[in-house]
Amino acid sequence: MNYGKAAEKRVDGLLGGLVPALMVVGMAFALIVICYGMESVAPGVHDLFHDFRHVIGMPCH
Amino acid sequence: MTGSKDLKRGAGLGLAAGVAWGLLASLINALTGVFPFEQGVLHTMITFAAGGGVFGIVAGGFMALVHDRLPTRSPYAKAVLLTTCIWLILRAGAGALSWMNPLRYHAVPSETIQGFLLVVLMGLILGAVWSLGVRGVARAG
Repeated sequence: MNYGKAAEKRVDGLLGGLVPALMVVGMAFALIVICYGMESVAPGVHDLFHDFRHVIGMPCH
Repeated sequence: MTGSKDLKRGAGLGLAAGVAWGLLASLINALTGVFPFEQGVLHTMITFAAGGGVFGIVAGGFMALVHDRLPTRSPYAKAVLLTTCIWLILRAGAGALSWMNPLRYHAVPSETIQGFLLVVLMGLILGAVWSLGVRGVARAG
């Protein structure tokens, strides 16, 4: 179906705005996983970022 | 800064600031000795750069979103306010986890104070990178 260039531009604009926004939200989630060492979400993240978590003042064992 | 291009740009500037901050944070901790490193130098550098980069992308992305709504004019003050708020939110969540499970999440006051000072430093670095980025855009445009 051809919706015209204006509609295509609008969809491109929407996707163009959505992708960076989702990227930042994803990174915010990654930051939470790193800071709390959430092994259930990402196995190995606790040991991998153990020193980083301590140095930035997050509680750990 | 509010559009998708600005969000990408903000995240990019934040990434640069965050990687620099992560490496600097590992160096500062090595000098203060607040937390004795348990990993090797290469592992420490990579994880601190990655962790700092993630923090930087989040801070830069939010800076792009709320830059015009923050109360101060200086990009340094705005960035410090933002990074401190992000850290305080994370620390409050960690405090709740620590309250629920003190053995798993054991808080150390000296690390908390160092973390707070480091996050202020992150804000200053992000503010500096932000100023340079804005100047670069002004010169190009």
